[in-house]
Amino acid sequence: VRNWKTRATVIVMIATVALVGGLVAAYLIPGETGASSALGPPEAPVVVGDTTEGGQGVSDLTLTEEEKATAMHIIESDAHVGGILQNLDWHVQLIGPLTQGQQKIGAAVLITFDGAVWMEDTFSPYYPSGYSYAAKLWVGSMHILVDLRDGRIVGFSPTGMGRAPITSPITSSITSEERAAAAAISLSTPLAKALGENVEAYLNAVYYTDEYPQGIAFFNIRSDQGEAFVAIDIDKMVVAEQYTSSVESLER
Amino acid sequence: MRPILRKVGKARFLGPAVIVAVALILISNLAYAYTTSNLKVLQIQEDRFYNYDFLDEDAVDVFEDFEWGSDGTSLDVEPPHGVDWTVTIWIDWLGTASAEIDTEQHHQGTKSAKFYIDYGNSVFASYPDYRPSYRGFWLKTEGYAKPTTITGDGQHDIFVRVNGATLQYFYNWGWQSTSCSLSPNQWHKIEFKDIDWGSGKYSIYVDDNYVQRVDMCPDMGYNGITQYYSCEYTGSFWIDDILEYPPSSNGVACAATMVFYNNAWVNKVKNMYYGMADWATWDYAPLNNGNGWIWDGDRGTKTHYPFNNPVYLPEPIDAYVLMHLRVYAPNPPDYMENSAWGKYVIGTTHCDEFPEYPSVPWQTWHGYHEVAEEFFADWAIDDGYTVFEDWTSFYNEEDFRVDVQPDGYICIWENDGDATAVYVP
Repeated sequence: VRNWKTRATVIVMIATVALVGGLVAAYLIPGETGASSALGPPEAPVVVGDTTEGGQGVSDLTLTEEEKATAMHIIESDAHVGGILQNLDWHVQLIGPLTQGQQKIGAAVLITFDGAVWMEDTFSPYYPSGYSYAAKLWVGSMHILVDLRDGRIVGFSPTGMGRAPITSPITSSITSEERAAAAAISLSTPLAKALGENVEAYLNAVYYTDEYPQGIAFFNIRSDQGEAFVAIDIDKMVVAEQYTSSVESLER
Repeated sequence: MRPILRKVGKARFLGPAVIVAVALILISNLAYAYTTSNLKVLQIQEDRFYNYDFLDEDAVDVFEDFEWGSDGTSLDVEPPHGVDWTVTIWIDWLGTASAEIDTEQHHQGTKSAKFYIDYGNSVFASYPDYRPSYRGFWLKTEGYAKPTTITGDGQHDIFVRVNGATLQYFYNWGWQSTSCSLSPNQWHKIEFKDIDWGSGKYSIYVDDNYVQRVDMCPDMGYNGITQYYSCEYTGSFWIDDILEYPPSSNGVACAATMVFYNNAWVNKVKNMYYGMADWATWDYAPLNNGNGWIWDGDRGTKTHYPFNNPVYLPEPIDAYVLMHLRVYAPNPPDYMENSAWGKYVIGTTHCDEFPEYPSVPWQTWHGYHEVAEEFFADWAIDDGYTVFEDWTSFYNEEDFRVDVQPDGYICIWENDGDATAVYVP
């Protein structure tokens, strides 16, 4: 009896050690257990049901080559937009359908200039909305929307402020005196001073709005230590704090 | 211990023990492998057609102006007009109660809905409704009426009334008074904004003024229903121009592009980047991790208010933009969990136009989800996290497409469909 008891005890002990060891080993094995390891990618999800459900069914909204060509013809022959573009170097970065809900109404084009260009115009992301804004700014790329139902441009607006080229001249926007004064103010801000020596101020944009009928100027402040935007209310010649900020560097 | 050690040394006992041990190791490994492969499903419902625009009638979930009936018409008519009202009247022993179209009072147009009771009777008028992101209506009271309204999703209720002149909300099994007083015999605009059905909170506004952010009360049997009712005291109140917006027609308004896994939760992930963005717009995501659809709302993590720290992105945008990451998981506990991914959350990424502060100019677009995914993935890599870029398909590939609203706001879809996984220690 004692032999059987001893034998059973040994087996149970070894089994216990093996079980615990096995679980620990399984937990620590990298690559197979996803969340347990940083060494391998996690397991991909298993998707059930129709993966085209819930918005994937947009293939019928793609543009045909003919539609793309038509859209570009409309853009280039447009008196206003085509007139602006014909003197500039640009290329189509992206082109795709313009939709309103699940209805394709035309083409959307992202064009990119070969180097930022200074533009002075009234822009509207979508003409039928009635919303527009006047601005003078450096532009790196633009959204152009074309309604193919009636063959006309329905949107023409910068994607945002492009980056002011260091050496390019600023043509117009505010008087040279105003510009010099505003630049000096922008360079006197703590944000500019924090950028160290050899800080330069480049006029990047002027927006004209109901709040700033004389314009609000955005100066791009740069040094080898970083970059910032300082906004100046041209009418009052004061810093518009709510629009003044540092620029996040992509290099960390 | 000695006898045991001696026994172990004997081959006739060691053989079976080794066999048992090996078998157990195999079984335990298989068991663990089974549990880790038991990740059933992950679905993130996206709204590919951005329709948050409040001027777009198609995007409005509920609009009821009561202009459809004539004076004295019960709200509960067949076929339904306006929203699909159901009216229930309780008469105690005499008197009346009604919920009818009224032409004497109106906010806009020529009609409103009048709720009247006397002698302790009650009237309840309800319509189907589920998790609106916004509810607004106009209200006018007279006499001792105590107008009350409730919206529930089966888990939480928005439960508000006007008692005397005081606006109250129901929470913690009692009516809590706000500091807001409503004048009788005047139209007041009551609104519930930033409704977060995940965490059970909403903000009350009266006449366009912020009143208070409050908690919903636990479910009281109102699942998918909005109800207006009057009981107890004789009097009338009128409601008009009810307006509601859905959280999203289908789902989150940006592409789901990232998974933060292993030991992630919502705020932890936000603090890997810009921290909380308490000013950003709410968005809502239905998620299915194999246990049914769950919802969460989030404002995300974003460059600082109002638009500090834009980023200059060369191609394809070639402009200064703002980066925005929203992080979703049901709250509580603010994460999801399974054996394959541990504690995980789902992220949507997009760029916003810069500047975006109102009037210089108004923000007019958001999108470029893939670009933003790369930005947040690179940030995590730079900070030393283990990142698997474009690790697996989320089946939401979308070529460049611009979806435009009647007010001109545009959502730019652009996503390769392959999500990035970030290991969070």
